[in-house]
Amino acid sequence: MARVVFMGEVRQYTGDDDWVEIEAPNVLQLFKKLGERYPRLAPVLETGFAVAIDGEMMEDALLQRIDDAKEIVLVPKMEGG
Amino acid sequence: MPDEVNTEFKWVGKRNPRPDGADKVTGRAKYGADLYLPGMLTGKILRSPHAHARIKSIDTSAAKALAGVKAVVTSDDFPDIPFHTGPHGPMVSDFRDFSWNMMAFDKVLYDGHPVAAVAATSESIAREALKLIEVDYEVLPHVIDPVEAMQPGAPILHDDQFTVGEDESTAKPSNIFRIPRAEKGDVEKGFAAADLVIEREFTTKAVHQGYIEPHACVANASDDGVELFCSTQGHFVFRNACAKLLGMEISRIRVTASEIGGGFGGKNNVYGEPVAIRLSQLARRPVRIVMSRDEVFRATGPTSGAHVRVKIGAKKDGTITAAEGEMTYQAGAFKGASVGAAMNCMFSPYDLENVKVWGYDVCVNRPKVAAYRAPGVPMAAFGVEGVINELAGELGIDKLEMRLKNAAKEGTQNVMGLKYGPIGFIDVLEAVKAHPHYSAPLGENQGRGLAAGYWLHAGGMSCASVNVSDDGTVTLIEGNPDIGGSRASMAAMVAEELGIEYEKVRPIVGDTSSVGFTFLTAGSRVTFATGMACVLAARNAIQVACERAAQIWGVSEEEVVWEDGHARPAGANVGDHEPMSLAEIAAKAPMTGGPIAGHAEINATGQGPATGAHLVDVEVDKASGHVKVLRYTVFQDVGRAISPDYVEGQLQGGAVQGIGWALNEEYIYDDKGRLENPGFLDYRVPVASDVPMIDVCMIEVPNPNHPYGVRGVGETPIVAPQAAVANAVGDAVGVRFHNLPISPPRIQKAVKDGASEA
Repeated sequence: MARVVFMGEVRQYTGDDDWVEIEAPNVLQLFKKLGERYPRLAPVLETGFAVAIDGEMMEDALLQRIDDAKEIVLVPKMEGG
Repeated sequence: MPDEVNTEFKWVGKRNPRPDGADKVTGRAKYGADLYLPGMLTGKILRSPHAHARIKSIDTSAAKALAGVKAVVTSDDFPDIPFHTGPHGPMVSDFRDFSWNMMAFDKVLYDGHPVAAVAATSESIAREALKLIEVDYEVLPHVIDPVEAMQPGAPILHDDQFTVGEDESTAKPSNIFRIPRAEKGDVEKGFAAADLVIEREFTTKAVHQGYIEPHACVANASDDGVELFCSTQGHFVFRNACAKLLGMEISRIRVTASEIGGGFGGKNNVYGEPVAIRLSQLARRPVRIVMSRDEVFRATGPTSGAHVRVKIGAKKDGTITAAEGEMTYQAGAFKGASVGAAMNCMFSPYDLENVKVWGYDVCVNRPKVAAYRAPGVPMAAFGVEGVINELAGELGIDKLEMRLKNAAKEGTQNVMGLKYGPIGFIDVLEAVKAHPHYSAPLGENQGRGLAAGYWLHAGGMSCASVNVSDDGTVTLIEGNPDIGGSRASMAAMVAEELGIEYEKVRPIVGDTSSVGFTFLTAGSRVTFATGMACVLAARNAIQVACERAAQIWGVSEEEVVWEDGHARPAGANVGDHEPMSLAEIAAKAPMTGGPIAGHAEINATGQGPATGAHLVDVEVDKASGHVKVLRYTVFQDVGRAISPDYVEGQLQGGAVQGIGWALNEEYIYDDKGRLENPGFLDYRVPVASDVPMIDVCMIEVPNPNHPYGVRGVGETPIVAPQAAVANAVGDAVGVRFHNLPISPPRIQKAVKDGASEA
C-alpha cells in the first residue's frame, strides 16, 4: 500500500489531508481512487501534476506500476523557458 | 533507456561546427519575417491605449471600406471559448484566457491588449486602416502592483475569478488566482533550534526576455487547411493552440518553425498567429504579421515582478535549521505566474530538514507573463542567496563554506518530495573554491558576490526519424526548433551511435506534418528528451541495418553486432564475413527489403536537476552609482556537455541576462498604467561593451537516466546572477541591496544613507 503525499497546491483539493494510504496497481488506478475520494481533484489529476515515485520524477507515469512503491508525491508540472 | 551511460566518444563532447552557423552569420537563414508569398498581405493589430477599460463598441466599417483593406477582425470573428482549464499537450491551459489575450472580448486588461486587426495590401494602408477603427471605451480603475491588487477594494480584473479553494457561492471575485503551499518537516521547531534567524523582504521588477527577433508569422489558408510559418519555441504546441482558438481540426493546420532569434520562454505561446490565420481565411490570401518592438514589450510576456520574503535560521556552525519563503508574483492580466516552480526550486540547492514555502499568483493590469528561463526562480533565489550571505557574514563563516555545509547531495529530498539521484552541487562549490577567481585580490570600491542556483528540467514528448540514404548519409528529422545549437548536438549523438562521420548526418527540424508531436523547446528539455529520441531512432535504424547484414550473410540477427559504424559477425563461429558499413548496407537496400530507417516516439523521463554557482567581481563608482562588472565566472554541473561551445553559450547568456536584470532592466508604468519604456533605448539590456568575457567552468556529473548523461543546461544559469551581482555590489559599497534593479540612483542613496535597504 503506497503512501500518497499531498504537497503544494494539491492540498487545495484535499482539504485537511496531508497524506493518504491507497492500494493500487498503477498510477492510473491510483488517480481513479484519488478522484473518487477527492472529486474536485479528479479533473486535474492526469494533466496538472507530475508524479514522484519514491523520489523519482516520472513524466509518463499513468501506466507505471506502484505495487512496491512506498511513497508517491504529486508535484506541480514544471514549466520552462 | 538507457542501458548504460556512454563514456568514450568521437563526436559527443567535441566542438563540432554548427549546421546552421554559416546561414545565420551570412543572412541566408530564414527567420519569422523572411517568408514572402505571392499576393501576401500585411497584418496589423490595433491595441488598447488603456490599462483597464470596458469595450462599449467597435466600429470597423470605415476601415473595411478603405481601398486595399482585405479583411478586418475583432473578437466577434473568433469562437467564444467557455471558461475552462484543460489539457494542452502535456500542459494544462485555460484556452479562454489564451483567446481573450489574443483578442479582447468585453474588456481590455492592459496597455497593448489587442482589440482588432486588419490585413491590407501594404503596411501603410494597414496602419491607416487601424486609425479608422473606432473603439468606444469606458475606462476603469486599474492596478499594476500585485500587493495592491490583493488588497480589499482593489480593481478586479475578472468578475468570475475566485481564489482556488474558495467556495465560489460565498467568496468574492479576487485577483488572487491561487495560493500554492508546500511544507517539509517542522519549521517552527527548526527556527527554535537556530542560533540566528534572519528575515528579509525583496522585490524585483518585471523584465522582458529581450529576444532580438520580434514575434513574426505568415499564415496561408486554403480550402484544404492552413500553412503557418512562424518564429516559435514549439510549432506543435502552436498548431494545437491555433486549432483550439479557431475551432479547427488539428490536422488541418501545418506549422513550420522558422529559425528563431531568441525566445527564452517568451515564444512558448501564441499571440498574433491565430489572428493571421483568421485574416488569411477571410481575405483568402497569405497574411504576414510582424510585431514592432513596441508591441513586443507592451503585449508579450515579461516575467513576473515579485515581492519575496525569506526567513532562514542557522546554528553557529552554519547548519541551516529551517527556511521559509513567501512569494507574491504578478501574473499579468491572466493567471499563471510561475509560483510553483519557484517553490520547487528556491531552497532546493540545499539539504534542509524544515522548509515551508507558499506563494500568490496575482492578476494585475499588465501583459500576461510568460516563461523566462527558469521561470519564477531567479526572483526567489535573489532572496534566498542574499539571506544566506548575510547569515554567513553574521556568523563569521565563509560564504562558500556555509553553502558547502548545507549542500544537497544524492539522496536529499526537496520540499516538493523529489529525491535527488547523482547531483553535482558539492562538486560545483569545490570547483569555485579551487578556482583562482575565488581568492583573487580586490581593489578599492570593488566587491565580490557569490550565489547558487537550481533548476529541475523537463522531459516530455519527443519524436525523431533517422533516414539512411543509398550513399550512407543520414537525414535526421526531429521536432524542436533549434534555439541554442540543438541540431549540432542531435547530429553528434546520432553520428556517435551510427559510427559515422558527424558531417554525414544532416539534422532537420521537421514541420508538424513530417514528424510526431514534439513538445516545446523549453525547460532545457531538448538535448535530454529529444536527444534521447534521436539516440533511440538511430539504434532502431542500426537494428534494421543489422537485420539486412544478417540476411546478406545468411546468419541469424543475433549473430550480427554493430561496432564502429559496421555490421560485424558477433564471433568467429558466425563465419568469415567482411564487415559492412552503413553505406554498403544502404546501397543494397533497394534489393534487400527497402529503405533503412529508425523512428522513436517517446515521453522522456528521468531528467536530472542542474545546480550552479556564479562568482562575480564589480567596481562601484560611488559618486555616479555606476557598476562595472570586472570579472564573472559561471560554474555549473552540466551533466554531459554534448556540444561544449553551445553549453558555454547557454551559461554565458544566462549570466549576461541576469546582469541586466540585476542592474538595469525594469518595466516602468505611468499613473494611467501605460508602459513608458517599450523599446531598447529606454529599456536597457546589457550590450557586449557592458560585460567582461564570461568565464565558464563546466562540471560534468552525468545524469544516469540519459545515454550520454545529459541534464539540460539552459535554465540554471539565470537563477544565480541577480543575487551574485547584488551580493557583489553590497560587498563593494558595504550595504545590502534587497530591491532590483540596483540602478545608479539606488546605489547613490544607499551610499548616502550608509544603510542597507529595508
